[in-house]
Amino acid sequence: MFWKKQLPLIIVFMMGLIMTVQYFIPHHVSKWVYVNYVDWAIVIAIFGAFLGYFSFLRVHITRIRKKTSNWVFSIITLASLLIMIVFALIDGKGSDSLFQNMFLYTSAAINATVFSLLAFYISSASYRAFRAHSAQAVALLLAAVIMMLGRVPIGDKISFWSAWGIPSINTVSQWILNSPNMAAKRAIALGVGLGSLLMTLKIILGIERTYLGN
Amino acid sequence: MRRLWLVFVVLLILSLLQAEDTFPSKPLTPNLIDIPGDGGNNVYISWKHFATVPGIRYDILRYTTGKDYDKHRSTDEAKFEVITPLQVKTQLPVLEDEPYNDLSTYDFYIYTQSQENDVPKVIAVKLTDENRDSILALGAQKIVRVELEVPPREILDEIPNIFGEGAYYLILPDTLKANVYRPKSVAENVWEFYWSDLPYEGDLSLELKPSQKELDFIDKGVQLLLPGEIEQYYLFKYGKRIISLVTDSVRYTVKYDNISFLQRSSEENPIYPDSHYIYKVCLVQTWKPIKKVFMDSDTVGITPENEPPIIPNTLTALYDSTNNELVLRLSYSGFLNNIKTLFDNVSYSFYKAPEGMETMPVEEDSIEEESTPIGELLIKVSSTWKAVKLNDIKPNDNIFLVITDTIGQTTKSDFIPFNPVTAESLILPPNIIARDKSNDGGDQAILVWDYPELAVRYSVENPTPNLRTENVQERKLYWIPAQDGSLIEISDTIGLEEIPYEAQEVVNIIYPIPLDKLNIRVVYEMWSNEDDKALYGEFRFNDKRKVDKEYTGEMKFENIQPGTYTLIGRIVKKSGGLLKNPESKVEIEIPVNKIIATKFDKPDYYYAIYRGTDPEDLTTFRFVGKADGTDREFIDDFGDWKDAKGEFYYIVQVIGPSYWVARTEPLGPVHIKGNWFNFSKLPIFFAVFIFVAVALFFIYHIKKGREFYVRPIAGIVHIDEALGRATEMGRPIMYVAGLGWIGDIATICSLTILGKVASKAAEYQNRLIVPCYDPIVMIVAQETVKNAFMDAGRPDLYREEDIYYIAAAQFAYAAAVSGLMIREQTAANFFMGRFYAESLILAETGASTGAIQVAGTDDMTQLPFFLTACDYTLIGEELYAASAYLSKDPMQKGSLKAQDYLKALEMLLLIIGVAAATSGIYWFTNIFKAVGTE
Repeated sequence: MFWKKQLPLIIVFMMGLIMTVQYFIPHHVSKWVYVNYVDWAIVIAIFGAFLGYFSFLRVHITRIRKKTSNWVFSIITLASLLIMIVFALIDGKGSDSLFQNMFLYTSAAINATVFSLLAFYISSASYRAFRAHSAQAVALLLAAVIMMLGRVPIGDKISFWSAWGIPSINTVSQWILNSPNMAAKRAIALGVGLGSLLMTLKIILGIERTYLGN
Repeated sequence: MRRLWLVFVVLLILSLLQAEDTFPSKPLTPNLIDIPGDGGNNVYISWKHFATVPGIRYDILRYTTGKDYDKHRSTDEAKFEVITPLQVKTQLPVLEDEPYNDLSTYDFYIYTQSQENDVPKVIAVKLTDENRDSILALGAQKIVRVELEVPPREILDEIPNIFGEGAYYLILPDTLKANVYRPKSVAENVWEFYWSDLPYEGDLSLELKPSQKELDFIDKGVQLLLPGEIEQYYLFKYGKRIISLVTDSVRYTVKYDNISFLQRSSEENPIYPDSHYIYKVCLVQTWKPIKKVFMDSDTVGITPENEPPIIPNTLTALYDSTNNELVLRLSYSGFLNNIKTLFDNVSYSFYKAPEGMETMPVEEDSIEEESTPIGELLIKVSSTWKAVKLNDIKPNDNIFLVITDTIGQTTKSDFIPFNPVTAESLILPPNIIARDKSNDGGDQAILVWDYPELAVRYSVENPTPNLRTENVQERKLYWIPAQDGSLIEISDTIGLEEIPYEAQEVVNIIYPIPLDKLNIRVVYEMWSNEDDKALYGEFRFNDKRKVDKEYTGEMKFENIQPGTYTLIGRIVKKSGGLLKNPESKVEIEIPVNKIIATKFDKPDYYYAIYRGTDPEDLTTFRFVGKADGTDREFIDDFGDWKDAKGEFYYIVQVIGPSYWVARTEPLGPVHIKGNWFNFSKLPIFFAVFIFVAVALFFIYHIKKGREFYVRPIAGIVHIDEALGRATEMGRPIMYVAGLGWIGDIATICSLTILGKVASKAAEYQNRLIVPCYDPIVMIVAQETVKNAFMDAGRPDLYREEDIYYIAAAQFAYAAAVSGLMIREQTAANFFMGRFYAESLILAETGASTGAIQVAGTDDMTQLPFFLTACDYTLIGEELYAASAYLSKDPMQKGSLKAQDYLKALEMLLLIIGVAAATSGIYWFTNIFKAVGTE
């Protein structure tokens, strides 16, 4: 129990305290502590990666063995993993290596494809969000229309009323961004900052122990 | 599925087979240069890469022989090693078939002249009756085609390719003639000379016709020109660089890039003087996707030497006969300036030759300085000095320089001729001190000097563009570019024949006309150092006060009616007060009746700073940096605290516009030490202290058993609702802990909520799927869910294979989780933690499956997406609060209470700050500003 509960809590308390104090100390000893701490974190993360690969292999091998639905995809996944490892071992990971070319012409292209789906999802999400079914939704819709017109040149062109001193669509959209939107964002940011500080304190004091798995 | 797998394999095999078995051309032999004046440990490698040579990379390879290097390895083991790879830009092939490619109807001929150690020179000429016989006698061939782009490989392979020297441009008047008549606009300050009564001061825009010279150039027709044959303006406007000149049997490629690399001696690849090294380059080409080909150049050798030092080629002596002072400037120019950092010079010694010595004896060069006294030593400084001043020098004294390098080799200059000047009155800055920099790690020193100063410039502008275009063709004005923009007007005394060939006629003159109301733009700079604690500028214009709280350095006063106004500017300190010294205040009269702009009155001198260890020995003082005349401080950063151990002195030189010099005596000693508290973070320290104290107060009292009311969080009740619905539908629950790692606060909160969700899932006997992005988060999630199932008394329902790692790649993870939602038809989805661009992909996919979705994140950019696509969203700190609220631990609830009180404190500070700033009181907000600017 000591190794699994008390010791991690003692380490967290000590390191939390040291790193808090380190923030206020500019001395080179303090910097040395910080640099080493970051290096340790990287080393630990590398060990963590092995756990991830183990889990990954176990899941896909189990699927192939049990021949669950779509088990062929698991073969492709494991083959891809193996091919990339072999390429990296044979030819390194340089700018024109086999590994890099496989990454650029398969993985990067697929990533870009998934990312491009966002455009369609934004459209469908906007359609749902901007339906004028209540007073708040109407306000949201109006703000959205002003923002969209304010971002394109036509917004300024159609603002004929600006000649009489009434703010143009561009001006109003900028005001929405800079005033009400910024106020809300800063309110959230202040709350997040305060919440982070207290959560850190709880972790240091051992009140918050989720990271230990309980 | 099997078909899909087969397609994948076939595609892979096809892509491998498609790799072309073509080899790149052999690269040219590199040219090696031993850097003169260095310690024999630098080699400059260069070669030409022609545009028609395919390739993506050159590797520079070295084969090492010689006494020093071979100590560590036998000759048998020695081999070529890659020194460095260099990427090259290969132009994409273009199949060019434009009318301008065909030169067969013109009489352009081409021949080559061989050059020693280089590619031949390619000469293209137009055949005339006068040169026909002589050109054909040289074996010239007719040019049938020019290429302005790199042709495809199959065309390149049709005829042999010869690489040659010749930067030819094709001039195409027919296709590019439209450029001639495009009005050209230049900005010139010529208005005052002709129309001085206008309400405008500044550059005018002139719209010009093309000159007669340009029109005649166009009329010459198609031309092949080298850069030196015509002004660059014409070359770039009407010409395009030729890549290849093609005859019936040969392609002459003339466009190339010079590739070069300076190899300096390093631990991995040392270069020792007098050792012999052999180099070659290897061209690497990759045929996509995986095929690679290599081609080596011929080898070439070099033996670097440690040469004697080189005398600065701009060594000048400024002599003021009134004060008998001599300033010696030491600098390299041209090619030597580019390589001066490679020299191994150690010191500069200035000597006065004995009386009667008329010339410098040549034979004494490169002799140990100490062993041969050659005159009276006047001053000896380190070789990093830019200038030195000598006193008590007579006009007929013979002064010369001796440079010493690292191994004691010396080089003497001739007697330095004096240039008579009048000494500049340079004043050393007042209050100059050198000291240890505070609030640092012990690796910085600081020099501060002078009083803080506010510098202001202003411009009177129209609020909206109001330009007048005046046609002046009747006046017959001509603009002459060569004479720096002067105008000539045809008059009784100046006829058209006196107008220069390159002069351009002025069509229109464009200038602004002031409106009834004008804007004043004030731009300011604060010339101060860290001791002055200057924060921003405060200005009064016509009794209107404005402060630049964000220190943008600029402010605007709008809609000002014509008149004369007073602008008063001051510098505000971090404490909120104003700096008192007279230099920190300005008072200017601004005439608001014409468009005008002023400039900063900046000092024309600068400071050179030297650091040394012995105040008596100037050779220890090495140049560490320079500061502008507007600067008031210089931070000497050692880079590493270990280099800052000991005692240091500083010398500051003031160098004037005519390079006259004044310098301080050594300042110091400075002992550099690290600090154990950063006082600039004191306000943050107090804020953290107060926050922690409040939190501990509540935690202490709740631990003692005191009850506090904790506000309910709306989103939390919907977690139970979602779980209940999933159970009713008999479909699994999916929990996504985001893309954060275990160190993220949002991830830790998410795992707390996961514990609660898992507990309920166990209670309702429902399946819980947790796909993970980070392996460590996965391990913690497995432990959390396992404990929750055990606490609920259903360890049999726990399935470790449902909490697994997917990938630490953002969109791979998003695609996998989206697929999972669709395949498993999850009834409830939870997205809690840190998310990025994948948030909407996940939430929209979940929404399309009809699942009930609860999200929570502290990332403001992703909140709108979750609010739109999910049923319930925990916004920002609600995510943190939810984890505390769900926990049964009373101390967690105590922290929640503290958070509410601290939020109230923040609100109070905000209200006071807004009220103070609105009332024109800025000291309160400056307290927080000071924290932000550190």
